Amino acid sequence: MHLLIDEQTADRLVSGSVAPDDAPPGYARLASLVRAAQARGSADELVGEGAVAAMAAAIVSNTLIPAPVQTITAASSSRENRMLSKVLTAKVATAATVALFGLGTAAAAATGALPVQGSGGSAQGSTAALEISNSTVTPTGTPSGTGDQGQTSSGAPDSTAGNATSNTSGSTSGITAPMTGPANQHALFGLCTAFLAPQGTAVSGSVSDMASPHGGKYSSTAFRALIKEAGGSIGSTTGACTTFLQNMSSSSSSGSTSSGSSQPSDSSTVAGSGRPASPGYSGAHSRGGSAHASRYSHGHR
Amino acid sequence: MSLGESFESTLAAAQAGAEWAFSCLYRELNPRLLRYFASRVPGEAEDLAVETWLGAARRIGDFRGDQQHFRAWVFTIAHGRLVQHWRDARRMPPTTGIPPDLAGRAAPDDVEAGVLDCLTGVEASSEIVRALSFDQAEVFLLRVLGGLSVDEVAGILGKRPGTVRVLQHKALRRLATSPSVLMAVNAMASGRD
Repeated sequence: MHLLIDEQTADRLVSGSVAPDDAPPGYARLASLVRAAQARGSADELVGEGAVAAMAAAIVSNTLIPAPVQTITAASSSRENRMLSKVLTAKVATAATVALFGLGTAAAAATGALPVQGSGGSAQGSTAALEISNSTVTPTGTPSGTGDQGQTSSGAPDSTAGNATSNTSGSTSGITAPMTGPANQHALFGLCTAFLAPQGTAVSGSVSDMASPHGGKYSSTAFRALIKEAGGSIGSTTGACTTFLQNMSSSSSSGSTSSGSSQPSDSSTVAGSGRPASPGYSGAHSRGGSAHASRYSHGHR
Repeated sequence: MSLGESFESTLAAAQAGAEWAFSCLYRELNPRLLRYFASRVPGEAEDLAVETWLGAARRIGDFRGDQQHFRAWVFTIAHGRLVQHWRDARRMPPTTGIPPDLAGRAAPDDVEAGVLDCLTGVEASSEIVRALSFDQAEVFLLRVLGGLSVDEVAGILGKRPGTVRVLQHKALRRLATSPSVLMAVNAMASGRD
């Protein structure tokens, strides 16, 4: 049988436009087959029409409406960005704080403001630092050697403080241990101020209010150590702190602060209000900064 | 497709999410889709057809063209879904050949005695696949059921148009001489009688 056909006839056969009776010889049954394959659908082939149409319409409707998932994603993305910026800001702030404390500690170490610990080696190092500081900043602040009352419970010499400091520490009977350095004076100043302050109220400076315990206030480790150093009772601690603050105030007003001591610059008002006008740490820094400036200027001189 | 001039409005309604429009399109195209899938993977035809419709719904907003192009577009999605199905199943498509159930049937000259029912669309498509090789059947089905042009089929299958034409010619000659097709068509004719 001759089955050769041209392209047009082949296309017409495939498209189903050729009736079996009009098909080329040998292709009549093929034309019938193609027409059968292209016949309209039966009922069985349309099962599920409603469900598929509903699903397709829902898909299109959801595609037309801005997807809430994308909105949530965008919002969460912006939230993540904000959170990331917060974290980064916090990290930067932390790094800056650490750097600041590090510089402050270095400056304090250079100027002898760091507290002297029990070992003699550290005391010597601190003394050497103080000698440098005294030789450059406060020529009048001669080292007092091992202070008269400066023997601490830990055995650390209090020779690192200047005259004013030594006098101050000497006058605060009972709480001499932490007062061997300017930084410790600041710490003791804050500790005494807090000790004398009534719990939950503003500092009044009235000693009589402090005679009685304020709930669990004195149960903290710092206060217990302070009380122990001051004689073991709240009354003795109150008196010692009051005396210490008064001495701080008087030494500040007599101008001893200018010699490089670590007293707050505005201790006179502090004693009245019971609140330091400038934090001891800032005072140490400012002093250290001035020490640096003086040292540099002295060196240039 | 018999939508005729109403195709544009039906398509626009479908693109706007009208359920009735999808019903119209479904009635026009789903029988051919089912035949296409049934001839390839008989047990999965309905599922694949539904997945094809859902895939078309996701992309119908981007479609531009007439009803002929729409049918070709839907069959392009269907072919991709079929290939994906084979990939997922990690098996080769079924080989073609004379089905074993035809071995015991009557000879072509004795059709009326052996077959009484007429040939349905699915049966006709299945006969086409059985008589042809895999590539020939794919070309023929996409041309017959999908109404795709030679170039479109070449694009889908990744072949050159000349190769598609050669495959189509071979398929036509093979179908014209295939005893199974001859028997099936005779059965269809006897059923109509």
